[in-house]
Amino acid sequence: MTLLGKATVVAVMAALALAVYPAAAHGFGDRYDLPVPLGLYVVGAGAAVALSFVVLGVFMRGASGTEIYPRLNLMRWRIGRAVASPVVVTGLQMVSVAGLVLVIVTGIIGGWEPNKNISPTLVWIIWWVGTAYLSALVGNVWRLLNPWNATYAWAERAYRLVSGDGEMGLGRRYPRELGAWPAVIAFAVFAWVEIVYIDSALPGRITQFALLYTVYMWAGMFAFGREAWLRHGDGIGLAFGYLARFSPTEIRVTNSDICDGGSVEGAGEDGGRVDCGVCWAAADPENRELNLRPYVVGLLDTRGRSPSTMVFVLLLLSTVSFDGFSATPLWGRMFNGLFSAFPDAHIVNTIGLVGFTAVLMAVYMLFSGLMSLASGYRLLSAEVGQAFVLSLVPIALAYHLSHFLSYLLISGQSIIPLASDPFGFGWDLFGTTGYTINIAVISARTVWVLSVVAIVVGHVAAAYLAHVTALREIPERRYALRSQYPMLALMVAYTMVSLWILAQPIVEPGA
Amino acid sequence: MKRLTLAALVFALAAGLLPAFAGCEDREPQERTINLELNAGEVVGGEQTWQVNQDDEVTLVVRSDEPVNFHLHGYDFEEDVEPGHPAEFTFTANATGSFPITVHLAAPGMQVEGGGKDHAATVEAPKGMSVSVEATPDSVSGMNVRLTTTEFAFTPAEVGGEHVPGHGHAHIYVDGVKVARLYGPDFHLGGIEPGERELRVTLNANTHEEYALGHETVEHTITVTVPGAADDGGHKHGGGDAVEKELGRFEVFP
Repeated sequence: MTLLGKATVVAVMAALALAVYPAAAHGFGDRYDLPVPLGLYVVGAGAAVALSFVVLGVFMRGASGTEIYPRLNLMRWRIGRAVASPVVVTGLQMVSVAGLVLVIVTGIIGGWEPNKNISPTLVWIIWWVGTAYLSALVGNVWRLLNPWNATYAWAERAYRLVSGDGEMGLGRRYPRELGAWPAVIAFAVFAWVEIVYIDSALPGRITQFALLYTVYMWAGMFAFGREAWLRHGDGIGLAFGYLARFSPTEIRVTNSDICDGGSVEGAGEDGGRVDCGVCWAAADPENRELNLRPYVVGLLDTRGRSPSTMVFVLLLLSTVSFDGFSATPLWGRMFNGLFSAFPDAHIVNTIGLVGFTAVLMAVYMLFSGLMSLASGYRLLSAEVGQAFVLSLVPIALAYHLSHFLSYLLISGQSIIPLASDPFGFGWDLFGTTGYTINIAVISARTVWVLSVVAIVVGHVAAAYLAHVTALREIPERRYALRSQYPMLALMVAYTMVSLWILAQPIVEPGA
Repeated sequence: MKRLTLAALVFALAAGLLPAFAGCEDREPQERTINLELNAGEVVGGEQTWQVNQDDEVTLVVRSDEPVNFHLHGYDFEEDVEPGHPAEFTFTANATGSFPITVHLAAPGMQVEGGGKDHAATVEAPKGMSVSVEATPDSVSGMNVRLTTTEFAFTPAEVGGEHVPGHGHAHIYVDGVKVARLYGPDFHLGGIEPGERELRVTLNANTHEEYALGHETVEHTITVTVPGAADDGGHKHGGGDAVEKELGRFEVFP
């Protein structure tokens, strides 16, 4: 056989190997999840449907859609003030910035192999998955840790010290009509790299992307100001921010006149401003609150809505769901079909991601239209779409947390040996290089039950949010409730898809 | 009333979930033997999943009609299997989950040259002939290979002609497959799959026989790591190795 002939054979074999194993999503680390058994799947699905009617019934009998929720100001205690103190905040930010620098440096001087360099594990498991968990379950930690925000803020402070009182940057007003579209594009690119791009686990590539995002963030903040760019350009920050609306913490400033109105969130019902970094920075310490609040209620705040934020949330939902869907045998078959037409995994997975997003958006727009119809057109379908999109977040979040639980707890352990030898130089800084991953750290049964419970709870939270939103947006109670039939149908369908994905064999070998 | 309905439903839900916990009443761990036989890299019998229950005593025997590197992920058993030399693993399946079973083939889709050096014709080398090879990753793609030889001259003009002791060319093999003939000491080796690769060079006479000192072929073998794209998610061993092939999953149910 000639060299060319052999090269062809190799290429074809490599192509076949890829064709058989399309599960390239979220490019790093093994997954060992067992599919949820049929019995639990049926119980979960049944519970979701039954509880939908309970939510419906509760509101039918006259529960009012209130947005006032109990809050507990942690600043009343020393522990709360300590958490919010500049020393602690700056310390955490320095750790975060050091992490970013480590990621960039390991890609340049460390080993290229994904498993012998700390960067892929640190970025894709600890940071991306871990921060999503913290955001949803604890609060908007990324707002605090964001290394691009921190470095730029330090630079601003240094500039002010040097120049007297000048503001750093071009001082351009962010064009309102652009909305959050830059963030939509940035997040789309990020999601593509995470889910589709084959080299996403290579430390060198991660360095390139990290530098690219650094330049993008600094340039945007330099042009339009730090806060404006964080709200409209920072796709990663916005994604964590939406997840964190589910969380049980918020920062609030009690005097709303302090802010120049640049905030998307605007004034709360009692005149306070929630999760506004500008207000927080400008407020006197006695007006600052770090509140505990019930889960979920943060998603009721839809004041910053716009077409771009709606698309952003839908994109967040579709990428989360496609990540799981891409590991199902159904997608395996579709992949093989598409692969024969476009023999390149990048193209096929891009088609999948774009197609999945398009289908989700089309379905959502269709149901927005149906809800508008059911409300007797008291709300136009475009308004419905923007007003209700956040109510889908708990469903996606519950799925996300279930999907990544064992991955985070098992593959995430790789960080222990890697911490001792981050560059792959053969170091043993903390004496942990010999650590072997404990694959029994969480049992399949625990994962199953937590997953199904999370998904059912997420579904109920979503139905609750949609009802409260409907009562707020649509004046006549009768029509508000009527608008919820299509929404509930959509939510049941979305929940079923999530459960169905979890019940799939992760890979069907030799499909 | 409302609260009562809600409580009843929550109770019903909890009751519904109970069987999931209770479904696996205490069973005695069993002894299970799994025979996995490979024929040309395919599983004889065509199974794709091998299922056991948690805490079963498992004996996994792997046979193959060709050399493969067998790997059970998670439990992380890895061993070379050769014809007549099965690999055997005995363990307690203490961790639940679905664990990939993969093999690394010697080289995809290409026959390893019939035992390589054993069958090649040889010619006696001049005393003191030697070759050594070093390879460094290229900044763009592939590897840069450099040979250092003693008592040997590259004679591209003479190839196929008369045998002149000490004259000739070199062959380079990647994982046992000849990929190039070298007419000089420096060579760019492109188009090879990323991952751990075995590079072997031989010195050959104008008449193509391999030079040998007695029974020892004049050759040098090194293992190199070819950088490049990772495959479907960075495997624990060797990173991007596109010739890793998944045979199926080993599933341990609670």
